[in-house]
Amino acid sequence: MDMQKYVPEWIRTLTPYQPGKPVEELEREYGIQDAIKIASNENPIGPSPRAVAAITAALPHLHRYPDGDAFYLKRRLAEKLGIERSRIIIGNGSNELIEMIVRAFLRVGEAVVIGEHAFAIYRLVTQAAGGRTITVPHKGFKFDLEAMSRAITPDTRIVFLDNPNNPTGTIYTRDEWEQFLRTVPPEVMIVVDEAYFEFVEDPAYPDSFAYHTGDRLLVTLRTFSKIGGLAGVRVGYGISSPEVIDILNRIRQPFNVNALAQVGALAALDDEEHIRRTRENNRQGMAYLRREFDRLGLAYAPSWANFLLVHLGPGMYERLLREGVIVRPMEGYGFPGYARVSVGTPAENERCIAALEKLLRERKS
Amino acid sequence: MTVRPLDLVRAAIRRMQGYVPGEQPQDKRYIKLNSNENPYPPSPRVTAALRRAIGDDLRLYPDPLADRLRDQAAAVYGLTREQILVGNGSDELLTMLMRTFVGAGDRVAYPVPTYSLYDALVAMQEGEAVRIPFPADFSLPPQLADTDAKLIFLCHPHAPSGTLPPLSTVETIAQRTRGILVIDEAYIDFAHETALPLLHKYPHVILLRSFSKSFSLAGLRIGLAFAHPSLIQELLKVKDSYNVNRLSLIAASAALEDYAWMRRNVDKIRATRGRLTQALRELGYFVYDSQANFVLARKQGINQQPIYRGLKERGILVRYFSSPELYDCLRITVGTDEQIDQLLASLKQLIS
Repeated sequence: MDMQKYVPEWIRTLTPYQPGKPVEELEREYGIQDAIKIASNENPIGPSPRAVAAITAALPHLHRYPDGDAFYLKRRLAEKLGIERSRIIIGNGSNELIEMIVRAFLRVGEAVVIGEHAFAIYRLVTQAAGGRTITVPHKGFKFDLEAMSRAITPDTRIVFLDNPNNPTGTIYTRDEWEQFLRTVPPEVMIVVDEAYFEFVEDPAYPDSFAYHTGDRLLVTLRTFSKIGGLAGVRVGYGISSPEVIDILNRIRQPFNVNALAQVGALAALDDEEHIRRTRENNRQGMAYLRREFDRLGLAYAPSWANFLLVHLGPGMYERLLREGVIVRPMEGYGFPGYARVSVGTPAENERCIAALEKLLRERKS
Repeated sequence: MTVRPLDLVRAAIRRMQGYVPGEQPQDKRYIKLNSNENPYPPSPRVTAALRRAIGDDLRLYPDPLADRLRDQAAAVYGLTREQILVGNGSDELLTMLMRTFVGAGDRVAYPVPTYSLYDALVAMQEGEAVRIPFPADFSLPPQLADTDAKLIFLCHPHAPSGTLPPLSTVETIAQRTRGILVIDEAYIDFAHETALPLLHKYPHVILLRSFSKSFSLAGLRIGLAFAHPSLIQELLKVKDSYNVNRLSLIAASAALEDYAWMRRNVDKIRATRGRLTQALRELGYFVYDSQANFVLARKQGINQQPIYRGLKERGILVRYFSSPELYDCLRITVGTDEQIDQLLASLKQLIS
């Protein structure tokens, strides 16, 4: 029976997002053991211990629905950020918020402007909603904000930026951003995905949170998956004007964020010690990887996040896999021969470098 | 130039109100009989599995396809992995169904009153909702199949009446419709008969299941869709990449492993449901024959809001709907025997 007749054309032609495979699956597929996965930019030192304790404490209440309004998490976030609760929305990961923004503001056929090497989800979500993406080439490894603003058409509704950019790891500076804000028409929504902002320590980095002023249509997206170490529980948040948040709430599923994610995120938010340790591990790991890539003669993009986009040459992803080191191949992002390597624990970083060194030696001989 | 975000929103969404969930007041401890939650906790195996899983692995993204749970559900329900999709609650599955099958102007038909999220989801897709009123006895309106709808939604058992139409009438709709028939079986474990056999006969039938009710896992948001593999394939395309968290996947697997625990709780709830129904009838209510974990009790023509308020003052929450079809009804979740005794005692006071 032909089921396709029920499905609109833009869904039929959609190729779904290919997430990194779980370690166990790759181990099975390649017959390897004790593999390390430094492929999904997860927190190598683990989740916030406070979140772990809070989640455990919440187990007796699972037969009850979660708080559909995520009251306590929103209240604490609002306190921390110094804004009203009405400017915050919580999502089943920030991915869900990306979906909701597109669903609320984009009509079939209308356009979204994205960068050539931006996070793949923006394009897929746009296509799933029957929209059109206008893809603007990167300047090297960076967003070309000037070109992106020029690419905006009269039917463009949304511009997506991720800062730092995944998978390149680059940031745009405050000057570039402020110039961009001056040129983007006020009726175009700017969505800044700041999943990795806690890792940035550069004074030139523009935290979009500081720009929620006046009438600017701006959404800032953040997540607990990275610094909070809670990728497994799915929770992120968005900040915008109360008007935009109200609209997103209209299309939000009533119980979109599970009960354990809510208590886990609340606890992680105030776990300063865990945040400090995560940053410290990242700082050292990043320095180590850069140094070793330099020594091995491997080119990489400058990164402000918790991963590096590195040129390994063809076939290296597979060979690394056989050594039990799982990184993320980047062909799908328009970087053939590149891989995205997440900063791991010191032991994971060293194992990655040792495997690379061995493979590079083999390639020469 | 001043930009008002509302002006930029799709008109369909501008017109929408969000779904209003049952109230969750924090001022005192209530007996909650308003959200159709299970009064009993999930299997101890679920808690044990979660305790093992709550640790370092939370840093890792979940399995995007939830294959382990799919395989397990396949074994339990006599299906294959390719016929199963896991969602962040069946609400998310409903959303995915709409996104996959409904374009602007497409018709979506369902008997009303029903789950109010359907209206919101159709509006979001700029579809056309064909709302067919139930007759007073909540029997299935046969004209559902004659609506030329892309999607038909049926709650089975129905919410908020709790009634279960005979399978033969559901099958008639499956035979007559040229669209897709979605049978939402969130409450099916409390009923005597599932529509699952229709899945094997009709490739355009989709079943939805939930872990929120019978498996006592409302807090974790897990739903399953059962459908023809080619439809699951399309639904996967609009699925959020990591839609279901690790802990929910683990909890659902453990819950399926202890199926007997769920059955025991369901048996208790069914026994209490019988008692509650009987007692409400003795208090002069018309009570629909419920096959779910709640009952709908009606006092013909008498607004039940004062009763709802009186119960709330006495620390008991039930569901009251102000709509013209349901203003003379209360929807009461079947709690423990003790909770139901308290409800009935308060209700007697209020009525006399």
